[in-house]
Amino acid sequence: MDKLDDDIKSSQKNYNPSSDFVETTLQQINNQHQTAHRRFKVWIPTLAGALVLLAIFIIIPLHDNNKSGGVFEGPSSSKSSSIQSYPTSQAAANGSSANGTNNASLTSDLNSVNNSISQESSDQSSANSALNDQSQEIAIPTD
Amino acid sequence: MIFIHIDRIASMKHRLAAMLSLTVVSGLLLTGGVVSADSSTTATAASTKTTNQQTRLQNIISKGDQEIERRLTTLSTLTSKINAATYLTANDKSTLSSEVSSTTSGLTSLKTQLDSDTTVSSAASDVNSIYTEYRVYALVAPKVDLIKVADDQQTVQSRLTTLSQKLQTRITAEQKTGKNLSSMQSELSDLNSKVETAHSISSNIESSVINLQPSDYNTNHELLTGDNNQLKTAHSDDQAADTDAKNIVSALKTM
Repeated sequence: MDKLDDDIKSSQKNYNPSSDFVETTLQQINNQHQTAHRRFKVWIPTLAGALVLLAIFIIIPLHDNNKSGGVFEGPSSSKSSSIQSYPTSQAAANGSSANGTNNASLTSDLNSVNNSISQESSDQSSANSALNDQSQEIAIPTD
Repeated sequence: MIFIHIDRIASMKHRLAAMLSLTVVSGLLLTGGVVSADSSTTATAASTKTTNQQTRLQNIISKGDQEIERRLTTLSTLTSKINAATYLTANDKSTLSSEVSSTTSGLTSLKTQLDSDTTVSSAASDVNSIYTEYRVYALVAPKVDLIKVADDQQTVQSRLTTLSQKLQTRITAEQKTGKNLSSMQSELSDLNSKVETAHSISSNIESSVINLQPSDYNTNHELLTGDNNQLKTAHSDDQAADTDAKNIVSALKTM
């Protein structure tokens, strides 16, 4: 063991790398660092640009759609508490038209109107019946 | 002779006394019988009257209970109708639900009070309250239906307004390409006019009918008839506007 230790110490004392070797190694390290830096400089703006594009074309339109496309304000006499939802525009929902004025969207809105008119007709009949039933409010004989 | 005469006189006195006694006793017996007969008749009449009153009281209570029960069933149906209504505004739904609920609790209390009545007059008074104070058939039930119609109509009008704006955008866009859409534009103007007129009626009926109370009906039994006729007019306007919209959309589809 003592001999082995002496050999190691002797080798360490005698190790003297050439200046070329050191220079080459440092150059290689420097090159690797610069390459990594260049890659970083390229990818970060690309990623940022992609995020901006994502926000412009997908997130913001979706947000606006949710805010204005599916909300209907009810009768004006009680607007504050009469928010009702209904599909205003099929086109807006599937993104095929920015302002919802294509044929599919108009047809969808027309169907929505017709549905509420059907309900109106049904309730009008009920109202007529209820008014006819007013005759049931007769004085109850107590004699 | 004198003794004989005295003896006759004495005998006559006895007879007279006996006759008088008989007369008095008979009179007393007769009077007693009549008095007895009179009091018996009075007692029988009073008893009959009491029985009649009790029967009448029970009849009034029974009839009143039937009428209250009938109204409670109707009110339960109204509650379901209000809860299921699609286009009733939140405010109207809340107001109508509250009114139906208070009417139900009022009639339930009235039934308890009526069942405990012991006189015909108090029972009759309670039975009268069934219709004068609550007006379930005269006011509450038709009121719910009329408000429902008014809110339905305003939903229709709002949707037509939204559609109208889109139609205008589309017509303007088509006109920029050089097409002549004057008849379509005219139809759209008619649509807007009909919707505006109908909306004015519907919103007015909604705001006036929602506040009506049984006392209002008591002073004017016809107050809902005019409202219903106005709603029918608004309904016709909505339908006409819808026809305009259908025509315009059909025409646009051909372009």
